[in-house]
Amino acid sequence: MLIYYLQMLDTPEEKMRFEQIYLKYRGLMYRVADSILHNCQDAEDAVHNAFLRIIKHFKKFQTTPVEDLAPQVVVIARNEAISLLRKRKGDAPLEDWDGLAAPSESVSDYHALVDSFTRLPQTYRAAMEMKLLLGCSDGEIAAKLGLSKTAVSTRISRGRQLLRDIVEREGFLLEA
Amino acid sequence: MTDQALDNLARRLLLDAARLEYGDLMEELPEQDFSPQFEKKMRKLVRRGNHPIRYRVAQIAACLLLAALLSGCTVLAISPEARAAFAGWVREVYENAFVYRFYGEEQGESYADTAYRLTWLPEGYREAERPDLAGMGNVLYRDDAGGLVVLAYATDPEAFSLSVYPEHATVRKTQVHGRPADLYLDEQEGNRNLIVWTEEETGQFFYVSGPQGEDELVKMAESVEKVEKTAVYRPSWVPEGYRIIHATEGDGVTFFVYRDDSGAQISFACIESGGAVQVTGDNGAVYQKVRVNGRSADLYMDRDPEEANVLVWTDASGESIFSITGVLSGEELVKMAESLEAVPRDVVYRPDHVPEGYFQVSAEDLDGCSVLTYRNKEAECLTVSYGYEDLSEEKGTETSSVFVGENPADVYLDRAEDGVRHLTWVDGDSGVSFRVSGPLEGQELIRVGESMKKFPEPPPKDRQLTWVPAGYRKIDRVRLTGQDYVSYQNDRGDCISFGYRPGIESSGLYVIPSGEKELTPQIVLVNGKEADLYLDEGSTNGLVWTEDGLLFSLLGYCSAEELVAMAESQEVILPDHRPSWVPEGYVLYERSFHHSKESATTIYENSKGGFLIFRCQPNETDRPFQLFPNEGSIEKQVSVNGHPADLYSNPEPGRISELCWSDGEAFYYLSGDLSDEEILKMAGSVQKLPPIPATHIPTWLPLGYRDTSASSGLWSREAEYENEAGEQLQFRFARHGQVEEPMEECLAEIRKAVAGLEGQEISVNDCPGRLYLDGSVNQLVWGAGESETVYWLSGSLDGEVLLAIARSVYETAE
Repeated sequence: MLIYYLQMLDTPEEKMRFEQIYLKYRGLMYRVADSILHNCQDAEDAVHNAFLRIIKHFKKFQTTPVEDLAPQVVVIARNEAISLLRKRKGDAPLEDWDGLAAPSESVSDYHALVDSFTRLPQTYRAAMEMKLLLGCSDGEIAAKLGLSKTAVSTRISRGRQLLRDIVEREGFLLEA
Repeated sequence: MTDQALDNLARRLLLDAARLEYGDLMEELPEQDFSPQFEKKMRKLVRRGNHPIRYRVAQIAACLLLAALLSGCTVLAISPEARAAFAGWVREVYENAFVYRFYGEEQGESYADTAYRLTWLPEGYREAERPDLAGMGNVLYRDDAGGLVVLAYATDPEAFSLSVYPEHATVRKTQVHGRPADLYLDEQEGNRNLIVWTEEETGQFFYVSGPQGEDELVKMAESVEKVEKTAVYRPSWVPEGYRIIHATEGDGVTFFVYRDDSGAQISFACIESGGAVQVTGDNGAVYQKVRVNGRSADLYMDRDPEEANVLVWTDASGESIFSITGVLSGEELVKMAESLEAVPRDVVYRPDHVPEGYFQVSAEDLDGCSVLTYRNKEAECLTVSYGYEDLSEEKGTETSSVFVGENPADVYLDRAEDGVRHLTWVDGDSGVSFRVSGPLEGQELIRVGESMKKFPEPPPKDRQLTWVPAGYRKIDRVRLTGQDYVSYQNDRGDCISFGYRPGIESSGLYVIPSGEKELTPQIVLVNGKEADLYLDEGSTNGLVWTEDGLLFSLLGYCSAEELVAMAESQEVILPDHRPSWVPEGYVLYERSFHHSKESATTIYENSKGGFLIFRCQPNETDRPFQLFPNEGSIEKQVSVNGHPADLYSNPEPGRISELCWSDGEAFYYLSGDLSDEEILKMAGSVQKLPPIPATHIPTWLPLGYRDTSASSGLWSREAEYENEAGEQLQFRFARHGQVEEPMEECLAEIRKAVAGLEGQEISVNDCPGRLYLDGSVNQLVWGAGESETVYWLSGSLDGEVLLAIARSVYETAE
């Protein structure tokens, strides 16, 4: 409900920042949503929901300069589109985790690792994005993606484990 | 490797994955044309202010228990399907809270363009602020002691909800204009009370909160009025000695100029939607941020103390810009800015005096200016114009400065028209511009100008004629510049115009001579008071009279007697007290009035022959109501909308329960085969509704006839009428019902009355009938199909008149 989100933007500075984000990225977010939903109205709904989500997690959008927020807003718009798509379609597509795990054995550099993340199954990637980038709870993620909390937890832990395996195998240096 | 480090890497990877996948789009940052619906939704998010008000007294609630319509009509099941079929305000009852929400789609007029205000406030309070909040309109009223009254209403029902946590509050029902309202009275000293209700006509949701008690809260609630969106804003405080000398309004700009005796000027400007204010100065100005009603404003103080300073600020929405310029201190500028109030555009002025021989011929609204035109028999015109537009024309010749009351004014001769003078001034209190023009000397113009009086809004109560000549029916009702007109027309196209407005006896008249000859009024009596009758041979006749502070007029192709009869029949259309909820299966069957409409009875019936009877008797009638409870009924003390009531409950199926109560305005009675819950629910739904006509009884009679007796039951009605000549008219109605005797008796008497007479087939309101003419007492009989009902009129009247009476009998109140 909108009423609960409104508390998050209390100061003029917050409102101004939100407006800047909206004006700068709304077109981008629409294109991202439309590339998934292929429907104008659904894409607008997804964009609107994405901005609601931005408001809800606004603290995470306050430190990064507005011009550097493109990846974050893309992630949010994409996840909202995916969530809407799953609701519209009702049944979830079969996700091939095992099919992904095999090619990951050939990851040798960071770029390849990034590329492998683009090929993560839809809900795995969405769950990790919502967990790690937005700080959503398992329950929120489950509601958004139409999964059980157990399924959400499984996806996040699998994703983390996959990354851990790759890092340990390839000897990537990690920042603390 | 720590989990945190791993998560940090994952975050980078996820963001870089997004860059990899959508890098081109991120570079491009494409624009997009969104739909109007999307833009509207996003505007709310982008511009919103603080969170909607939560009226909090205690802790937040837990689970949903049940939902009830704010109007108190139906308990709504907790199902999405049920909600989807319903549009309206719902009060959801939680364990420790009430939440008001809107379900469904807005119907009818959009709330987004409406604003409201309180027209009655406790002493010392005045409007202070209208903060812009998402989904709601908000008006704050403050007094000097720090007291705060809040009026709130929903402008976007979908984005609005109200949560009430009445931990220490008494929760009960009250009424606002006869509509159910929720009252929350906090027992803790210093806390605020709350009244919540919806408006019947628009479904608009309101609440008023404040430290006041029930009476004042209800009074404030009942004083809520709509503020036109295009209201004019102006300061209600100016420094001492300043008076308004100029007012301009139009094209989204309002401009007032004030001046004092030394010639110093202050200007106030309001620019709506998309305007800009440019501040310039020769020596530069000291800029500082100040606050106006808590919002940031720009103050420019000129270094030269003798030069004007400027204050600029916007309203909460940012759509309107205001500025004040004057040789004033910063504090004075802010004080003037904070005194801004919305002045409704609709003001009605009329001169109390016009020169002898002039009569009003028209009242028009032209381009934001109201113009009253008067004419005399020499066809000379006098016009009175007023509005917020600048009405001063280019100066003519022989200009002289005068005063209209305390307002400086100008009188000048018209350049083009010989002998015509104009008087123009601006009223210092209201900012309204006036102009009086005519072939008059300056002093006469001033006398007209000084007699200008402001009238309140058009009379809130509609009036009607309850008697018109046969064949006429109401076709139109219009309201124009403070005057109401109701039109009646017959099949020939002849019209009767009934008008009324606030006024006094010396005001101009509405009767226009059809030819050149002068019309001299004759004095007649209307309800015992003198009235002016104008008989214009071959044309419409007119009647003008005053009553209840109103000036009435009647025009039509009618005789003097008919005009007087119509005039004496006019009355205020009073709203009806009726239940707005009845049990399923019941429909409104009959409506009847008693004792000259002092009390009314409404009967509902269902297909199984069950009846519900509701009766309303205003307290002023002072007629005793006697109730003889049915045998076996159990007397219970109950409550209807907070008022004590007596319930005589008859729990056995098929037995009648009865309920009596009073709300201080009227006495009510309800009876029927109902459970306690049903009868209380039906009683609780009683409210003021638009009036409906009586059924199964003539609603029109020829001139001079009055009812002498009447009786009614569930299956029959009888009435007798008589005129001054002693000529009588009888009416009977009967229908088939659980008791057959009334119908059989009526039919037997009809057969006896028409025995030996040849009847003509006629149709009355699409029902078959027969007209029997015997030269002295004629009979008209008609009825619904298959002999379910029968109507019978008999009297020494023409067949045409009997038909006219018959056609005024309503079968149904719908």
